[in-house]
Amino acid sequence: MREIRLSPEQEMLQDSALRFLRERYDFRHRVAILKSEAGFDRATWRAFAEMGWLGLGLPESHEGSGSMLDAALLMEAFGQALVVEPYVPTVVLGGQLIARYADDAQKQRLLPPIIGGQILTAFAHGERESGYQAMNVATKAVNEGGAYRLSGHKAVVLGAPSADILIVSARSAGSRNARAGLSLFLVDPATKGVRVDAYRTIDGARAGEVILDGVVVPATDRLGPEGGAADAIEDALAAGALALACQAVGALEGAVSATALHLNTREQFGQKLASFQALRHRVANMVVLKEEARALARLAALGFDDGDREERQLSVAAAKAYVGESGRQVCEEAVQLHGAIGITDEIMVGHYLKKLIAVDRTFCDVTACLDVFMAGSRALKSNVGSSRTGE
Amino acid sequence: MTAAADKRADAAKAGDFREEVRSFLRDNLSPQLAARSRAGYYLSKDELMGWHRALARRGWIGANWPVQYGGTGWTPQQRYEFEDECAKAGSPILITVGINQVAALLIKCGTEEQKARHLPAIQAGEAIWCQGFSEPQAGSDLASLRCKAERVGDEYIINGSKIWTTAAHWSDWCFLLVRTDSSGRKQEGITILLLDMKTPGITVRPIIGIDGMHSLNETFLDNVRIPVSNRVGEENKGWALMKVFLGNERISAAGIWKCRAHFERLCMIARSQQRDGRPLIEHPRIRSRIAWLEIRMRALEVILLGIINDPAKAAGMEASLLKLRGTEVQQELLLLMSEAAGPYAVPFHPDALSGGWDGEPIGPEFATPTTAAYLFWRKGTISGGSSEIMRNLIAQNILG
Repeated sequence: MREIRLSPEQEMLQDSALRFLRERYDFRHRVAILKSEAGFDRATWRAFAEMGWLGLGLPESHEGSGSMLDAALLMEAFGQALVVEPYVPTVVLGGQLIARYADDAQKQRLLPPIIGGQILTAFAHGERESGYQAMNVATKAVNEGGAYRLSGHKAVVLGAPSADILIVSARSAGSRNARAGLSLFLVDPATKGVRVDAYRTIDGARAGEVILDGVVVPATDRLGPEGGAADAIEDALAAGALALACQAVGALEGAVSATALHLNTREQFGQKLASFQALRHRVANMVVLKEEARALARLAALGFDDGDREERQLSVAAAKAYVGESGRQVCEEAVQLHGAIGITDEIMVGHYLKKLIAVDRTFCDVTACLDVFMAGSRALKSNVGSSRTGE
Repeated sequence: MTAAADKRADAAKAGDFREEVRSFLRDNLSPQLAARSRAGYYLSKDELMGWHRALARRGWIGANWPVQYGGTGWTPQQRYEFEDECAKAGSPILITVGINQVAALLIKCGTEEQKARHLPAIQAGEAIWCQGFSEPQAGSDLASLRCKAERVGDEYIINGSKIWTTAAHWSDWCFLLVRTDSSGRKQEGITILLLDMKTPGITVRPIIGIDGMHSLNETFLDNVRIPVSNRVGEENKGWALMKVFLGNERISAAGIWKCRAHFERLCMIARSQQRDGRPLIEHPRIRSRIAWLEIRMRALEVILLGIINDPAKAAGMEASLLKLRGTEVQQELLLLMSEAAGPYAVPFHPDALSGGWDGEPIGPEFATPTTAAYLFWRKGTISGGSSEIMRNLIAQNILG
């Protein structure tokens, strides 16, 4: 385990994000965005670019800046304000994939406009049958010499309706769950044979089913080596899961503060709800779970850049499992302690619960994360000399 | 940071620090003691203090004391690595009242004479300390304590009783809270005194615990004389100083490092025990319970490392959080160990628990202590500020 100490710059990054969102992204503003046609706000996106947030966590050689911990702190702020703009699909998934695995020409073409806020991306990976198995891809890529022909159905693709570039995973070889044989492709959604069936998600974002019917993609738009995309896919999903776990932590912060405020305002039986010990102790439990979730999410962020893949999988799984289980409970408690107003769409608290549910079901849920953790934990091996868990 | 501390930090970066600790443990921790400690047997005073003194000779007692008082200057990372290696090696868990609580308070508010007299003795393992806090009528409501101290010349004369004094029967000194004024608010009028346990007028009565063993006591004080020079801080102003002490007590009582040791032991047991024809550790339900415990421990360790070198934070919300959750994790670890023993969790064999017994164990070697430890550590969520008090404090922090 490690000590997590934020630098003054990191404290400032989070403070300024929270301040910006308080001033520019309040509840009413968010409701207007949810009702808008696009489901997100271009002006807000441009402002994110001006703040330098669209390059956070990306390598500095391509105008990106900062570590994954920086990105995690921003994600906490986004979670507290329940930002619905497609940050995870564009910066965390698209940005990471391109920055780590694209060739120089592709990077040159795509990274500056991502960081500058001109283009949006989405990662079209999961499928109806794949559950949370990262390698379970049936979408086909047939190499036709100089170009590929893609066919398949990608499920619940976050940010698909607004994406200028879809990053599509497809199989050119190997059986359904094989690591080998997977490739990634940059696909313009306007290409013939691409259909995006758009919808809203419960947490206010936009997503869609992406149907590929014999889509022709030039070989120059393949991302990384043919058949060798397994690591890239895992990295992207880990980064996405981490970003969502951090957003969940921010949502918990918001849910707990809202609950504290409510209990200190609402009176019943002639006194503030905050004076009842039965309720106070429940708030204390919420605070505890929130702080534990934060510790796990920041630990995962801190270890993300270190390059130890095994430890990264383990710590992301721990954080994501924890927000999925305990984080959800915190939000359920927040709704309960708000009473009837908590089950309306008119205040934030219910939206926090929706966020936690969406986070848990995206990329990997509690059960899937726990499976990853159990498979990776050195303590849980059946036959080792000693369990070495913390090195 | 001193040059020595710089050098240590560099060594840690190179990965030498763990090796340094391992090599010390190989040379100093006898396999017999490690085996008994790892298996959860109750260690004797000599075994515990022998290990304390071995660490002291290496300069590794009081790891987070300021360097000028003999602290190690370790970074939180090094502290973690040290505790992790100790847990894996099965090193005994020390009595920490003196090292963690008394020392922190003396360093902050003690006189130079008190520091000079007590800190080296605590560090060297020459003095065991106990805490004289709770009374029959003052438990969670500690500030309502009544044990009376009357000032006569340059002495206080103490009359009253203390209860739940862990290890009073082994202790050389007692960190005592007394009432010197009962006219105002209950928090006012409390004074902190350092009591030499050899002083005439002290009677220690054993209280046998739910595990069938003796670690708790009731301590009666009958006209016990304590020199005024043994007072810490001002008369009647003790309560305000207790914040630091109680915060450190919470961090100790949280037992985060102890959880690491229990966890190692649980995994070892779960690997060796068979259930339905396979190792218990492969049983899906057990696996997932162990995994959740490991995840919770990771969170608590990160939180602990964030405050471990910052005395100001000992009195903060994190200490209450760690106490609340650390003791819960510990209890669940012990419950799982007891479950792993199966039917052999039921035999009660107190002779085998104590030091010096070398007969045949009943059932698997680990079985005898598991249920006793499970029962004894039900105290974890009660002593050192109950879980209910911790929740009060955490709620106070956010709700006012």
